[in-house]
Amino acid sequence: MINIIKSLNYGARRDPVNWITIGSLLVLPFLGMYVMGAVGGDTLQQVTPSFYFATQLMAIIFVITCFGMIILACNLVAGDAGDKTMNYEIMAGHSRTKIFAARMMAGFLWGAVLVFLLTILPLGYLNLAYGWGLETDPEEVLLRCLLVFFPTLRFCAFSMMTASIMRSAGKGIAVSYVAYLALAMGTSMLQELFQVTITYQTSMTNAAFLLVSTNSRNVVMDGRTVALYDTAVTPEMIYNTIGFSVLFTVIYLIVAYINFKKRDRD
Amino acid sequence: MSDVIVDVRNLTKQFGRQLALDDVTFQIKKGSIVGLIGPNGAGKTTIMKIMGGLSFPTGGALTMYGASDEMGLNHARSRMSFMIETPYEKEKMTARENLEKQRIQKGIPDKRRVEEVLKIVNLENTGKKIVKNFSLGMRQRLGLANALMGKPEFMVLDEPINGLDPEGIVEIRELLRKLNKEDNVTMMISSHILSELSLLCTDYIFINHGKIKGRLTAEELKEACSEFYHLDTDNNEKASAILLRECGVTRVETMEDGSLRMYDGLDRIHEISRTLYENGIIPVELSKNEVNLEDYYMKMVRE
Repeated sequence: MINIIKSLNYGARRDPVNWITIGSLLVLPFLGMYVMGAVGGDTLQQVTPSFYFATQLMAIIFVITCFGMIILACNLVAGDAGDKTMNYEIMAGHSRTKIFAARMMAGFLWGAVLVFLLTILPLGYLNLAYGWGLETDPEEVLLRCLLVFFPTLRFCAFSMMTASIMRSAGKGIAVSYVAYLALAMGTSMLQELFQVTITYQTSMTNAAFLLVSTNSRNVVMDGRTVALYDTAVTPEMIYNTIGFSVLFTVIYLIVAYINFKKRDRD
Repeated sequence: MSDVIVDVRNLTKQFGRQLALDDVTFQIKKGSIVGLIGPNGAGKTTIMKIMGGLSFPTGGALTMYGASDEMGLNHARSRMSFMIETPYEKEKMTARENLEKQRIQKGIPDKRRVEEVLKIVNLENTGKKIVKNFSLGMRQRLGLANALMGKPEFMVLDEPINGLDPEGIVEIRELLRKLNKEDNVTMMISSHILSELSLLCTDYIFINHGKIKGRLTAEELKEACSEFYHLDTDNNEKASAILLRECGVTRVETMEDGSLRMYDGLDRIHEISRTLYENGIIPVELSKNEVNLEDYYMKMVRE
């Protein structure tokens, strides 16, 4: 299985699409910060990571990094199925279980982990440049960022399942992106229409719940009015986030595995 | 230990309502080169895909290297190599990169193997040219390089000379022959270029509509493909009787158009002609011909 992962990584490193995606993931958060005035000479204001987390990170995760993750994960899992080079692994005598597991591991490695790292990269950069800031508690923010890994993992699993079943990276990306938009818009509409709160039920709302803190109060410090955000993480948030994410990830992976194991390859 | 390394018994494959393979049974012996012959859609690729683990049979049993369970078959596949349909390659990678990826996947520790196989198939000078810009022949060579990578004991090749120029066809034929003779590599080859197969194969399997139509060895084919005289006269019925009765000919076939095929007594053609003439038979056409693999194939497929 290690050999398959190594060979997938070898292929992924030589796929320009992956590097364009990673490059975009690296550049776009900084572009966002530039627009906000945090990067570049003519700054309008200094953006602390604390403020950035409370006001911007969610948008960046939702708009940019999730889409990037979809591309990376689908490419890893189904790129080889699309051009049929995966057939060589089957014909070389690797069991389908190992081939599937290797793909999912490589997909998670490139998709979820990379995106998670890229998500906290701007926080690290801002922290080095301007210090943490007052608005949020750093330990709580880091804990929330760590917890975001789980819904990210869950969405990554969904993308990989779609790509694996459709046996095409392109189709997988398209369907996952539509699902992502449907989840983002559908849940907010449902919440409005039926006055219900959807949090852990979908990966998107779970991530939003972790990355957005609307509960703030204004306090005056050194003659400045500062919004202090409540970012306390409750045990319920931890259990539910991990529990729901792992449950759905396992379901997606089982569905994808059954399909992968039983179906003929063209 | 048995010489049989592949044993296919009553293999059936159904795609929806379509029966792609119908009760297929054959065996492959170690060291042989088996030609799998049949028209498009006959089931050749389906057999190869089932052997490669890409497709699952609907019924029947497949045994390779004595194993018929999933784990055993996978182990057997690690001793084999497959080139099925158009070779699958990463279009944006070079030939070297594609082979390196396969080397890693197969866990071959020697990095020099990539250069070795590139040299064997004459692709060592392709440099940074990506596969997308390869001709069909170059892709075919790369597919073969891929199949050679793991030093297989058994190669399953689907149309391996498809798209190659005449020089390339000879080169690949010689390469396959050398692998078979020197390294005792067993092969199963499907090709539409039957003249090429007849130069290489030790055994033939004819398949049509998912059914095995016939099997024979190269020796049997040679026998079946013997020379004959094509004979057309003003009275073929009488001519046939005279040939059998008075000329000592033992095998005469009447064709659909009424003409005759005479398979023995070929070295006495002058004498036979004279006898026919003396019996009032006037030959309209008399020509020496040969039944080749292609004729045999056509006969098998039409049956």
